[in-house]
Amino acid sequence: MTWSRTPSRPDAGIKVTGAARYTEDIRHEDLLFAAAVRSPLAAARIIRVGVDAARAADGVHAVLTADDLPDRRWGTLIQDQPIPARDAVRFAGEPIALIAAETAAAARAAAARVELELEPTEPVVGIAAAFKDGAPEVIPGRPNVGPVARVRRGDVDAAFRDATHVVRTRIESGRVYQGYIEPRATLAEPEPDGGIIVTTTSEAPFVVRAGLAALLDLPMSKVVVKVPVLGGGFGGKLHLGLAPLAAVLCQATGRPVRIVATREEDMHACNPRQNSVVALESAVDADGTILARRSRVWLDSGAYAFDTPAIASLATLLATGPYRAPALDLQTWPVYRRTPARPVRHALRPARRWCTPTRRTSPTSPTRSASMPSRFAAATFARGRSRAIRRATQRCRHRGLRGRGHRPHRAMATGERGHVAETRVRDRLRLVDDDGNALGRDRRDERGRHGHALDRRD
Amino acid sequence: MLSTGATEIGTGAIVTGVTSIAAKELGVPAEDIRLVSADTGDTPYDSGSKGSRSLYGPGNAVLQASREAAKLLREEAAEQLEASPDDIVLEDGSASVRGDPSGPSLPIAKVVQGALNRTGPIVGAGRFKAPAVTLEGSNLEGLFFASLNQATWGCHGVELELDEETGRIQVLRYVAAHDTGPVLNPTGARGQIEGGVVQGLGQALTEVMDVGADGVVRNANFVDYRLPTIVDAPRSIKTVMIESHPAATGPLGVKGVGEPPVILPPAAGGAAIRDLLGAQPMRLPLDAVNVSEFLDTLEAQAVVGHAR
Repeated sequence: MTWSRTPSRPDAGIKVTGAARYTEDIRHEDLLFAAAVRSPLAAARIIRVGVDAARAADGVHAVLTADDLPDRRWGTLIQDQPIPARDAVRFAGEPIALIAAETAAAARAAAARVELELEPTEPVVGIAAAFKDGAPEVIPGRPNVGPVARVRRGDVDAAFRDATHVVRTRIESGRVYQGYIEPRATLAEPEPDGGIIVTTTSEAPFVVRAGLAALLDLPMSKVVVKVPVLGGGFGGKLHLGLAPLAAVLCQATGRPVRIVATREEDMHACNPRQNSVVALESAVDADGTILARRSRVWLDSGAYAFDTPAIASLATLLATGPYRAPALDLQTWPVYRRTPARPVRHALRPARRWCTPTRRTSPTSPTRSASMPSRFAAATFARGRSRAIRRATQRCRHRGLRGRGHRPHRAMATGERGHVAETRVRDRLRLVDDDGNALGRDRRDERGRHGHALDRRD
Repeated sequence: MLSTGATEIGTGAIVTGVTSIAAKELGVPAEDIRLVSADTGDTPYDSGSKGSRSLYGPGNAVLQASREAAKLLREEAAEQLEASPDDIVLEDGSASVRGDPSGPSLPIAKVVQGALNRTGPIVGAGRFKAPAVTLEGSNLEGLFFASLNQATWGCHGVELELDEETGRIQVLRYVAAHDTGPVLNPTGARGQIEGGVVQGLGQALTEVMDVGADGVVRNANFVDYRLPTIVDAPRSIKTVMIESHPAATGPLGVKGVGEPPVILPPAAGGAAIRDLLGAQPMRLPLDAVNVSEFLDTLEAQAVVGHAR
């Protein structure tokens, strides 16, 4: 029995009973509550931020904008992100003003009294848009496409020239939110010696310490970062998060300050997995041996560099495997646009791996690709309703109802219609059936259009 | 006390994983170990809980530290039990002499007390850095780092159902096999794999941040951003852990299993769609919108092909 060697989770009891103390649960006598005024626009010049009314509001201790703070920036490899936006906003949800007040309600009320005068500029949305001639620079003076991370080996061109087959795959992946249950939160407390103690929802407290020390111009010995019980991270809490906001408010007021993101704030101003475009070409010989690979990957970095240059390195490194190829030319670029982006429980790998099985299974042999559509026509979509229902599904997206859009369609969930497919993805990327035989189109033909098709109505 | 800068993010890798490594090396029950972690004021440096490295990186450092402390315990116990340090066994909270089950044994606390009087406190320290990836004969440009942790290979299979009218996919059964190396905590590892599969299926099938033409996220809530629920989860997820290939550089041969199960579900799902339709959609997620657009594309191609 394997159960006997299973250690029990020492934190299970406090989590199940609700006794566990997360960042938000830490109480403090003099605690001030923070709120951030965030940009409703993805791209704008900041003309004026009117804070007088907010400063005069009841219970308000501090209202900070970029004008009240030195121009120090943060970021993993390139320090380009201001604490509140300075001169311009670069993504919707970027903080513009920070408030500390006696109660959370007072902070929110004061936030509503901050006047934002923003001049909209053209947002750069989508990886393709960042490439367009004349696309505005997301960060002035920096090209929207960052420096390449590249690995080259062998004579790639020759391998492609001599290959029996060339397999090309191009996939697009969307942005994915980490979906941790505990939204981000930070408590910053002043120390009598001028230092600061920061309790925060972090997966990497030493990264936060280094970043805060630089932002606050303090020696690292004066910055202590603690992580209490954490409600998940999935890569979304590897960075400074809300710590800079709480820290500058703490310094401005000399009081402990806590900031807690709402789910909506967290999702607007978070660090989702980069959406990406992954293009992969493999030169293979007659028996399927890979002779060479080329990859080109574009990662949506969001408005600031953050760690996307490092993720670009990772994407390139991962493309060197898992299969041996004598010749390689692998390139990845970070692309800047108007939304923040960072890693999720394995940065990029799902998109990269998604590419892999199609490599062997979608050969670009002209005879095969021509035969597929006619077979499709003969067998598929006899029901006229299908197209109409799918159109309705697609309209949901155009109305911005993506999430709710597919909920009412229950036909499949109840098993009334549809077919069952079985597929295994093997290390060596063969599709096989239950007996271990290779599943190619030919075999599928023998068994009809759906392979293991099984009518659920029976 | 076990002091590490690593952060417990909910996986159990720190509260049970590295703690059980220390417990095993020191021969004490895991519940006797006080864990202090993720505090830059009180614990040594750690680069963060990421890259499936919590059991692997901090685990290696904890193993080294525990072995150093265990060596001091054995030396002290050897003094008290009048035996060679090499013959001292640390087990079940006490020290005894190997091959002498009826012989004398000492509680670890007594060994520690003896050390305090004789040589000093029992302390061990460990550190670890993952080895760099070797890319011989390659020309590198613009790489910010070149080290990866021990890889955990995997193989996933999925059985799913496609509603051709709506483009919606329901996952029926799932099997996830991983080359985990020795498993410290089977329940924890299985939980990581099952959770990873469901999270990976969310990314494969429903999850996407919907950014409008104005650059504003349009589904910034858990109603419109569709995380998988129990209704979306497969009826069964079979997890297979291959323990026969220990990691060359992992502590006690273990490998990380935090991220590997999230990676394959989109690929497995896409391959299953390919098995059904003979062609693979190239845009994630495989939600009703993308799949129905893909079905339209195939249908249009079929019409053209038929006309020819």
